[in-house]
Amino acid sequence: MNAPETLAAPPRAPWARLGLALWRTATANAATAIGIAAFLAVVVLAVGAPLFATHDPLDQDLLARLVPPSPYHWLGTDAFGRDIWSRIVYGARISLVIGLVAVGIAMVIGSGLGILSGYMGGWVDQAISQATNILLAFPSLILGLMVVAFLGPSVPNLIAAISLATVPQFIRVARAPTIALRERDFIQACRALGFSPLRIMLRHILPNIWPEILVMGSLWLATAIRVEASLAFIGLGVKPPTPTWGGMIREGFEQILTSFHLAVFPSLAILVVVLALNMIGDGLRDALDPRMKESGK
Amino acid sequence: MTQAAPLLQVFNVSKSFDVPRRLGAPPGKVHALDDVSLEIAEGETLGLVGESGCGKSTAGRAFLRLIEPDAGEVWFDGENLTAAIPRRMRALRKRLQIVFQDPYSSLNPRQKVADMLAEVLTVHKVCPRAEFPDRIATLLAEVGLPPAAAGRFPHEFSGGQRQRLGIARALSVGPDLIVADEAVSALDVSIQAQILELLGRLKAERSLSYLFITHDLGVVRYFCQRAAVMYLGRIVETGPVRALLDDPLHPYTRMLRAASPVPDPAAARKTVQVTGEVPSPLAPPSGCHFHPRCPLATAACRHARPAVTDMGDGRQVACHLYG
Repeated sequence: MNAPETLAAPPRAPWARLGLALWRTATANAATAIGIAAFLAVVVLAVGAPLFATHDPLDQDLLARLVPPSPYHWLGTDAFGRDIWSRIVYGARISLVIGLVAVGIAMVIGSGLGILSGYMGGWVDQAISQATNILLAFPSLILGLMVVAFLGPSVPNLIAAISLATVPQFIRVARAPTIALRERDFIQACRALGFSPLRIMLRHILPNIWPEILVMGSLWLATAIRVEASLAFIGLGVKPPTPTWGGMIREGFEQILTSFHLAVFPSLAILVVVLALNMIGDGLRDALDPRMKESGK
Repeated sequence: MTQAAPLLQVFNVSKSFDVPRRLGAPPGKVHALDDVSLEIAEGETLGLVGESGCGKSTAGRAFLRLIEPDAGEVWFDGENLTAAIPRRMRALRKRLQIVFQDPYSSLNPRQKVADMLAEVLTVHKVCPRAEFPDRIATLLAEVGLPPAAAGRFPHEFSGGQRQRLGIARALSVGPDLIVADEAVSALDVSIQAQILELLGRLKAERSLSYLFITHDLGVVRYFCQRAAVMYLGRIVETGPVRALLDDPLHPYTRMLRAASPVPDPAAARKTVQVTGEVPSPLAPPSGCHFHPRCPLATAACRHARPAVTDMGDGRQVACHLYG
């Protein structure tokens, strides 16, 4: 076997390839490493919230209202005397669950529809593309706002709203490379071998486009978390007293002139997560792009 | 030439593609296939030759319904393929396979060789799963690859090896007819010879028939029993390879023959100057498509499409000179 020299790296299973890509960028690119570390830290905090919280996030201490950061209340307390650090830690759960579930759903539905649209062509493509364009005409916040206003604010409804706002992005990301792949000989070979369209789409097209979908996923997770916070900020988020970052900013906004720490710390939490996800997404894109070129020759 | 019932019969197949409207130009249609008829007997290798863009590849794909023909019928072993429902068509595909030109785009880069072949065996329930490893090793051996190839990804192979993998994939379903679409054109000359040798051996061992699409007359002479010459979507001449290449009837065949270096001093040297460009298939010439380049063109050639004339000895030509 004399393999061509240009193809040095042996290919691996998709997850291993992603891990390798992440590792490579993390070691080569400090921003990505910081992003991964920051995001992992937030995930750990959210998962182990009861361990990391110093107080009960709902516990009101009316004698210690609007306390500035101190050794006992690390980030101070809000207008009801609730510990802000503990509320941020618990709030991370809401943000991450809504963001991850919403983007996960959008990713599955969106890439499914995108591949279907690109592979089938014809009226299927027309219908899906036109619907996508209509959805894309609305900014994701407005779309989410409309859905939540109609259905009422609750975790499932927020997830539905953010999914709907994100689905068209994944449709577009999946459709374009599918159209390019459809004409490739190996897909034609699958047809000649009598494979069903479903098998071709799932087993032959999806594995070849999923890195792009994943990069998009990490970037849109950041947007989803931002939209969730924005909806909470305008009062369409998960209902109080459940701690959410957007809700905390909203409450803190009322005291911004006297006790600015109320709004600043949850804002920083959002900033850290969004920035971390964007750094990961950028790093991933850089890491996967040259490989796509390499395998696409 | 054995006169068994033809394995593949193609009747008057046409296919045109819409060309999107460009600024200042009317929207057009490219007639990639214009009333194409041919047949391939069992165990026969038919060469389909012509210049780039003449519709050879479209023909191969239309016969397999990878591209749906606009008109005409394709019959395979007594069954009308063009009328087959999707379910039946998928079953029939076991018997009709294709090998592609570009060994780099014809294999899924994310699939190991073993997975690629196992998938085919699964879909068509060729054998029980327990027999897959043996079956895969046998297929690989048949195309001259070691059993270790099974655990590798396509990009770990050279062009010639990849072409062998493409052939193994086509063989895995046990086909009767293989469309070889410029299957050796992308390979080095020495590798070409190896792949042709392999295809020839498989033909003998598995009693295969081939539709061998190529632009290389040398390969046709070496590999095919009969050949059909295509020009701008139409078949202009059909016949046994030796007769067709040594004594071409159609002026276009003569031109192709003159343009192709065949190392055969015995071949009669009919020098016909190669003149002109291939006309745009968007606006093919009237009458006989070849008349603007033809040294023997008459008034009739400009107006009427020449009918196919049977010249005996299995030869047919579509030219007014013989009409």
